[in-house]
Amino acid sequence: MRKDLTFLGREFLTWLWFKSEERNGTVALADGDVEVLFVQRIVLESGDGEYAETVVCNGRHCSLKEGKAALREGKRVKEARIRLSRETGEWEFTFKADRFHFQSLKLPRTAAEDEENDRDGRILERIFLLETAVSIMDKLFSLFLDRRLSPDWTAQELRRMKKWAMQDS
Amino acid sequence: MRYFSRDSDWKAIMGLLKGTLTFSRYRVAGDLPPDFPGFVNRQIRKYSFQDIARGVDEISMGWTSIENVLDTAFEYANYAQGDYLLFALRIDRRKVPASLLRIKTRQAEKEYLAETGQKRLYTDKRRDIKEAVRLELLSRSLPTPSLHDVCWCVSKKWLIFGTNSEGTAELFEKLFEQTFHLKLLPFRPWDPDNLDQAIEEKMASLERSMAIFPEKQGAS
Repeated sequence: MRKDLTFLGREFLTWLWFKSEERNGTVALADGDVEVLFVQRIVLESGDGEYAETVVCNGRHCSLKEGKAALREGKRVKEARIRLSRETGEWEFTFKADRFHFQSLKLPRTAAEDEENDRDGRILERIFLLETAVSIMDKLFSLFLDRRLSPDWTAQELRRMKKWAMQDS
Repeated sequence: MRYFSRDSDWKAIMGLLKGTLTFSRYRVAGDLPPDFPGFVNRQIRKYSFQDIARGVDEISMGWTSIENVLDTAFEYANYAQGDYLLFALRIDRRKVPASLLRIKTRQAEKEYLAETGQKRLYTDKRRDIKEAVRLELLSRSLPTPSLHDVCWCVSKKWLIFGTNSEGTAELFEKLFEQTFHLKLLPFRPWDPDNLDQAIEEKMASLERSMAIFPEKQGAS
């Protein structure tokens, strides 16, 4: 039977929150930097099913303090509103860690959008922009997994994450 | 749900044409049948949405064009767009409100007792009456339609479907497999199929213990 690795989704999103606050949220990927920002809403949870305990943080200011307090209790990020920025544009969406799902994804404004008639061009451009957002998240996950599996994980990344989670601002 | 005056303005859930996008991702497994374009063209029309004006089906579903909910003929293979196949799943659901079912069943039971002169109802009879009432109400209820976009990249074997709902996704997976004879695997980047072998081997040692801070066991 396959090992259930679903927990990696929440670990990834928790790590991504930390990355969004380290180095101003800039993460270097093989195909260029991306800026990661957590906006408005973070949902943290511990346990499963009927034993689950959930904390929902809304708004810019409360989220840090309350969210970090929840982290210290062992909760992990289950869902968050994320903004990704690159020179080519800005994407905003709610990301659901357990299933790697996207919700209410806003795409960068396109040139083709202004031209009413070019229906095919508009659709293909939207699919391309959607693929870009998806591929950035996949690359961020690969980066996370690489770190997570490295022998340095505990001594380096995890140590910095703990320090970050202890800071209350 | 919003209705518009033109068929083509009927906005699907994923919003491939405009607006924000909500979707689940899949890998498409299996080999494409020979003469794939011809096969798709036959099958998508075979399993297109059929309107049932009056019936007792709780769910009716099928494929429609992505731009026009009333287009189930797919002329000129209008679902084909470059390397992508774009279409939509329409699901019409009928539901009998539980409170109405309860009231109407009691009424029917009372009428049955009055007609037959019996004092009480046996369990079997009571169940039969309830089912008959349910079917009668179902046939009179109006379906609620929903539309979900499908974007299938044939060459790269991925697909996205416009929902985050597990129930709707299950219905979609079933109809997709029935229609195209291909299997859909929900995409999770940690599944072995999506990883290099070297990473997969390392994964074996991975435990559920990131433990920035350990999860408090049995905390209430």
